[in-house]
Amino acid sequence: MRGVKILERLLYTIPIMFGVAVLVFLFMRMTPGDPVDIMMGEAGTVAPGEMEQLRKEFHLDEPLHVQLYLFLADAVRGDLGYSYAYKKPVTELIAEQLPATIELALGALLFGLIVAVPIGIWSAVKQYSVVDRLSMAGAFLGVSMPAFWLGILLILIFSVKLRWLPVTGRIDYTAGLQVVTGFYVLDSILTGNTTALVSSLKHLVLPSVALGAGTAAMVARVLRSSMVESLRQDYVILARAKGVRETWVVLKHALRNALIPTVTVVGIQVGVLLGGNMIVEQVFSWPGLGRLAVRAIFSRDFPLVQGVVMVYALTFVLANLLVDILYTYINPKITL
Amino acid sequence: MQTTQTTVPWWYPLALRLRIWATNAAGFLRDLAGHPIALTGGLVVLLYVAMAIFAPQIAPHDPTKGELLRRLEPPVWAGGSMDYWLGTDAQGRDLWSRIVFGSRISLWVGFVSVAISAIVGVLLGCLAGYFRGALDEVLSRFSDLLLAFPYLIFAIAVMAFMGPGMTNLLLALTFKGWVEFYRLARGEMLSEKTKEYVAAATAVGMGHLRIIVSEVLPNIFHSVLVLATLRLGVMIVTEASLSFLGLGIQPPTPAWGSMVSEGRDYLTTSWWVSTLPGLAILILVLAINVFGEGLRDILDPRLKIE
Amino acid sequence: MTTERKPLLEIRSLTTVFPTRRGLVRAVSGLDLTLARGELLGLVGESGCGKSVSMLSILRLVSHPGRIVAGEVLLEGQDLLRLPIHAMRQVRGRQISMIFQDPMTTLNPAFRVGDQIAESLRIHGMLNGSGSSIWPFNRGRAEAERKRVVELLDEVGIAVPWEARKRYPHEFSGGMQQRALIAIAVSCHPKILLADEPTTALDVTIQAQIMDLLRRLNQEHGTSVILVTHNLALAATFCQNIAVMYAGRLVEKGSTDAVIEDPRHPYTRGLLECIPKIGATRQPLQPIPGNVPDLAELPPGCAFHPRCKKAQDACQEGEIPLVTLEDGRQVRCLLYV
Repeated sequence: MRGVKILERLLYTIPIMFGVAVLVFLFMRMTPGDPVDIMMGEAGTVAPGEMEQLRKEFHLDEPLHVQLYLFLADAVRGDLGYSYAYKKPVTELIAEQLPATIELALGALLFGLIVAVPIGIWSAVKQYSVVDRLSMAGAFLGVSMPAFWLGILLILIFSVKLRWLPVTGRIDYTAGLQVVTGFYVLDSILTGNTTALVSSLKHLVLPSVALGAGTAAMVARVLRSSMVESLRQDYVILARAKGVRETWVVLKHALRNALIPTVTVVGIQVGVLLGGNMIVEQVFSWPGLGRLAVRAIFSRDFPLVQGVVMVYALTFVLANLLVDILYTYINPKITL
Repeated sequence: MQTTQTTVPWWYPLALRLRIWATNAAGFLRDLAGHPIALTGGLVVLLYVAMAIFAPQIAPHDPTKGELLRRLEPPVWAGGSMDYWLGTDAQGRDLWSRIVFGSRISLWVGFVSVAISAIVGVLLGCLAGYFRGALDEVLSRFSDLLLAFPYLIFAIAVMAFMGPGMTNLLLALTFKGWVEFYRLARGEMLSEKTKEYVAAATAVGMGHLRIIVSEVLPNIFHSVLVLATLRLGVMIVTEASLSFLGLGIQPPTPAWGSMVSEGRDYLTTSWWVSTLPGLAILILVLAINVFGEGLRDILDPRLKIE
Repeated sequence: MTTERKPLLEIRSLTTVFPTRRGLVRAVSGLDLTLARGELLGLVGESGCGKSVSMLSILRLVSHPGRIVAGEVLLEGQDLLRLPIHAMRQVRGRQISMIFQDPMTTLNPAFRVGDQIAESLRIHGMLNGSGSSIWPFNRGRAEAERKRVVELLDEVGIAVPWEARKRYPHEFSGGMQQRALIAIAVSCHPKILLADEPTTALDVTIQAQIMDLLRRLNQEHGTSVILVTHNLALAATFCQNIAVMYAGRLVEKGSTDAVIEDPRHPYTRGLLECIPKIGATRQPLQPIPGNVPDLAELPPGCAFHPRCKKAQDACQEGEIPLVTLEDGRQVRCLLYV
């Protein structure tokens, strides 16, 4: 039953992705002027003879609807075109950089949840206490703080002044990490390389904090308000009347219900994390998709930009699907 | 039947509503006074607005011309001079003057993009919610599609393809920004439509548009205002992020985001170049959000954290 | 009838207050009440008279900012108000259980009904004497637990109990939800069941079924029940004894027959006159004039005197004592002093 529904939802993402592809295609064609000319002008690395070849590759000699059809047909086969700035297929470039981006996003999400969940619960239980007021003031600050500025502050304090943590990159190359999956933390564990593990974790801390602070703030606020709400409910009194320990009244009976709105917000945060990713990767020179995209934008490497945007959208759609599925497990009243 | 209807001009209910608002405004200010934090937020925003309007009078120096001999001077409390009390950047430009002028970009982009988003979104949302049918179907599908893009990614993509500049920046921010307002207005319209006063208006023979404009719109005004305030902060951060990436307003026009970015290279020696413009963003956005929360508490307690 | 038994539960001058902006609200003031083994006691009064708060006070579940400031709650001679909290938890659900007014909001919407029943069993170690633990990792115990849950659901009259235990509360009707709550309440064979308006939220036909169920549990297991209700007629058909509360105080207590046939307190009389009698000649119902007093600003003396037909000047001052009459009836009214 649930399997069928999940499959249904999965199928529903297909028209969405189709729409995303069409939209991205249209944007590309909205670019003023001939994309190839612009690319040539910016890059200047392509021999004049290749111009015609490039035009053909973009199918610029065909009418618009044929261009769209060809673009979509290629995309379905997993061919997102060729990056001439990197001289590599776009999919290959994306596959290389995607693990770094996902590692950072997961690190940020983890940081956000580790900070937010205890704070949210504690603040709700001790509503209007000093701890609660301070936490919520902090959360307000976190929600309003631009990620790039927080990143710079963190670098200034922890790297420049205190020299505790590295400024940029994912790992010290002296650690000699053998890349297996592209997730450096995971790879270090797989290959049993402790030096690399420490190094990759050290590199991961600041970017994760910069990216995850907003999420932490948002989740803490929502969790607090929904915990306050559910602690007021009759079922909490019933749990106490049954003789349940107060700890479990809070952590089981109240929290379980408070998670329902919180998961929705975490779902929204996935989008914020992906967007913030681009910025934070830029601040910390984190070699992920976001940095790749920004570079591609400045070198006018349109196929690459196109590809990265589509992958971001796909990741976002899939992450939301995951949250929706998770939601059905948490909220028994909802069936996808 | 038809004749009685013409005696009341179509704008009459709207005017009546305006009068009620005017009466309520006093009550609103009283409520705001009971929210000292929100009031402070509102005052800080007003201060920023004043700073933007009177930027040429306030700024002691030209924000785009620097004195290379006095580059990277620290703020006055860190050993600098009162000439440049917040210090200077790598080109010897006065940081304070640049921050003052930078408020123009942030506030202008924020207010205009939110205003356009709100107008477009509310209009389409009302129409879709009122008439349903194919229009609703198409718009709702399209908004679903836009929601498949994370906000910043979308703006970055639009800027990447269309190039930097104010017009493109506003386009990039509103192209997706209307969706929140659309969903709000559509939802409210769907529920308002079932209420008695709309039925009553239909019964006395009011036209569709007149019902929307004079009956329903005033009723969703509060929710829209609250949402607009909360979106304002998001738009300003988004603009700053785009400028930080170099995709927003182009130098030498001072924008806070690009100022933070420019200062990154001097982080080890001159921390103020990068951090102070960021502080300006933080304080503004914080003030807007605090004000928005207070506004929500006062006007529309139903709207909870998204 | 019941005077010779030693009381199972004895409440002595229980006082529970809620500090509010307008002053101290005395939700329960100086409540004295006894409950014998196997007794069905009805606690009757208008809404807001402190019935529910007194029940919550017995289990020490009054929510913040409410506080029990005085009194004793003796369960078999032991004062619950002085028990350490861990010992109190052993009383809740095990010795004294409670069922609530609105089953819809009282069952936890996030957990299966069967699990909510099983939780009680686990907390109080009701299975194989194994210690209390909330982790269900023991296979043999899990099996025993399932069996017991099905038994309980069956006992409270839920059809197809082995299926029903896997349902979530929102998949139950209101009557079934209340039955499930009763199953939770009686799962550990408590000595006392506090039923706080158990049928108010239900249809009349379901009401009768639930009351039958409570009566059966009382007869089969000897569970004492305090039925809290604003419905004097319901209490009269169900209970052996009736206690009437007004403004946080007990105003009359006696056997049901005595109270119904010969109410002594003017308030009880007023309540009885509000009940339509089927078959009687058409008489206008006599509502009690005025409103329930504000618990933050109780009138001095007898709280009922502003609404009382028989009020005298003396009613307005001093504490009115609770008098025990020759037939064992207790009344708090100057007419009987």
